[in-house]
Amino acid sequence: MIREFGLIDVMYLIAAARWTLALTATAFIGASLIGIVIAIARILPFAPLRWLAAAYIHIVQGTPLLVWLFVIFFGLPLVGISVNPWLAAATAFSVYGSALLRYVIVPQSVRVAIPPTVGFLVQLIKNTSLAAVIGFVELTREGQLTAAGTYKPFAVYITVAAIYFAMCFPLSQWSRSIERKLDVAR
Amino acid sequence: MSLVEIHGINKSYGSVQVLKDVTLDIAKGEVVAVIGRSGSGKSTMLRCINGLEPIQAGVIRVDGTQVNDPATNLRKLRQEVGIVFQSFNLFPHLSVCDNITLAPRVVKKQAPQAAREVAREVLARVGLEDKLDAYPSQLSGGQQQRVAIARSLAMRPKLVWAGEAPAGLDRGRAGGVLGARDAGGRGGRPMLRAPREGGSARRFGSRVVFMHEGRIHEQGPAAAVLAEPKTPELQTFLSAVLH
Amino acid sequence: MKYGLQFRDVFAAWESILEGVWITLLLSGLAMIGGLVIGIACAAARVYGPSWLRRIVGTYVEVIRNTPLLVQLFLIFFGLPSFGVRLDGLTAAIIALVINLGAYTTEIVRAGLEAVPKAQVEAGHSLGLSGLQVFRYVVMFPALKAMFPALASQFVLLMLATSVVSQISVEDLFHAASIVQSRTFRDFEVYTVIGVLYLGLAFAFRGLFAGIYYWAFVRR
Repeated sequence: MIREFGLIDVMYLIAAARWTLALTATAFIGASLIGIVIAIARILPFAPLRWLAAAYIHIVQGTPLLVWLFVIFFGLPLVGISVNPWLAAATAFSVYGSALLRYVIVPQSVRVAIPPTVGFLVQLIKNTSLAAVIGFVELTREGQLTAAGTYKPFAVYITVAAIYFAMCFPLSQWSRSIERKLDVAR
Repeated sequence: MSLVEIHGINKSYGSVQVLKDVTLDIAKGEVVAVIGRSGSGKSTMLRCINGLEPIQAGVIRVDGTQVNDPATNLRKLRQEVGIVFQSFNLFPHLSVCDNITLAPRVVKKQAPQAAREVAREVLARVGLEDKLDAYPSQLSGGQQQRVAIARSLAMRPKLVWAGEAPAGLDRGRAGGVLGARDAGGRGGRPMLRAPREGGSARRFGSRVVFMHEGRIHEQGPAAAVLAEPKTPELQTFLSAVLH
Repeated sequence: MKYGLQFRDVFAAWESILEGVWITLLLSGLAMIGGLVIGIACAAARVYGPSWLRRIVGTYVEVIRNTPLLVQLFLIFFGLPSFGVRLDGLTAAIIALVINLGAYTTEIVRAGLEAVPKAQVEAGHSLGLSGLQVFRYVVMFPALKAMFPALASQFVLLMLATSVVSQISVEDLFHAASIVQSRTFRDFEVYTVIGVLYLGLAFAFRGLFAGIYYWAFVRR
């Protein structure tokens, strides 16, 4: 039985976007925590720690986010945690994001740190779409389910894209306006 | 007919007027030094002469061709007007020889060997023949300036404009450079110079034009104008700058 | 620990893995070429073009950069058939990757073009060179040198991002993991090995780009 793609589906999609934002917020905090640890490790006078931190960044930046998602997803049972898409996704995004944060932690003034931070947030929001792959029901997964149920993939995915755009674009614009003000101030 | 005719030009950037009713004629073979503070409009006037900047009123003619006419082929015009900016603008990724031969090869379709010989000749005129295959990063500021002049000479323009009296040119060489130009066969090429110091103007110019806030305040034979400034602005300028 | 890690079964499936590597490299290469072509064209439009064209390119760049690659992929693979355009996985993947990379490349190329000092461009014009000649002899080389590091970075990111095409069943390196996994049931080990392989590829790409940079821009 195929149902029509109507307003109610759009509402469900927007509701699913809440999970996108929740995942983003969690990953942001997680990535910041790990990022601070790494940043500190890189300036400690203890050489092996510095090397480890640098290696960490290289490894994380050299592997796809999907790999981290799956490695952590399948690795959780090995440390005794039962399979949990939410936890796996949050951890994977935190790890992946922590390596990107060095542009945010370094600047001393908050004003200067805003554009790269906002850029990082936008990236996180987009990255959460991959959580769909391990079954976590955020915006993209909800889109997949809706497309399967309504047989209207184009309409569904256009709507999904529009919702992502509505979340990311204002942030990008805001970041750009701050950058412009910073340039003028110089 | 003068080689360069500038009549009553006005130029503004937005609401700021930078050239006010400027009129200047330059005859063939003349050497004119344009002096003035930065912001007086010297560089702007230069940029208008070869069409890099539009003017809002007035007429500029180079060898009979009207510059601010939309129908004018600016490319052809610019081959006749050689420019050396205050910021040198040597292309850093090309050797000195390539810098000089680029326009002759690409615009005039000169053969590479012939262009290289021309490059050697103009480099010799500025005293840097041994730097033919060096790169701009290997040259001093003054040397880059001289190469930039050589580069504009290579196109055999009718008019050469130097944004500043090149510090590296001493009297002897300057005489050589100007002299060679005068011997150009077609009655020599007029040169406009815009040195910031009046001292070099005395050395290089046969005529001096003093600009202040977008207007020509005084002009006349170099020695006379610089020895007896008539307007207070020129007096201030000279006392601040001459040594 | 529930059971010991065993990598032997994973290594035994090296043929499938190698095929996956090949597809990943193919996708990366094609996407880089296509993305670069689009990037150069759009950047030129943005820097030299009329304002209506600049607006169109700007819209394209903003839409792509503010939506996830996965969704773009789904749109092309699952969405286009609604209009009668039925593409196989590989083609859809290439198209999505090219369109996606093109947007990011546009900004990088644009930054490179704008990095060339205006004074040099004016010097070129003042010598009588045409616009096209100025671009070719004065702008192109310094712009390429300026944009190269950012471009190389973006390309490595792209290579890693090709892993998403596994979600429309294109048999790239990441997809090979699921094949091996279904055969050996060694989930964790499989993805760890795949991760190391991607790491190796990233390292190789970075080295390659560094080499190209040195050969093209430093040796003078």
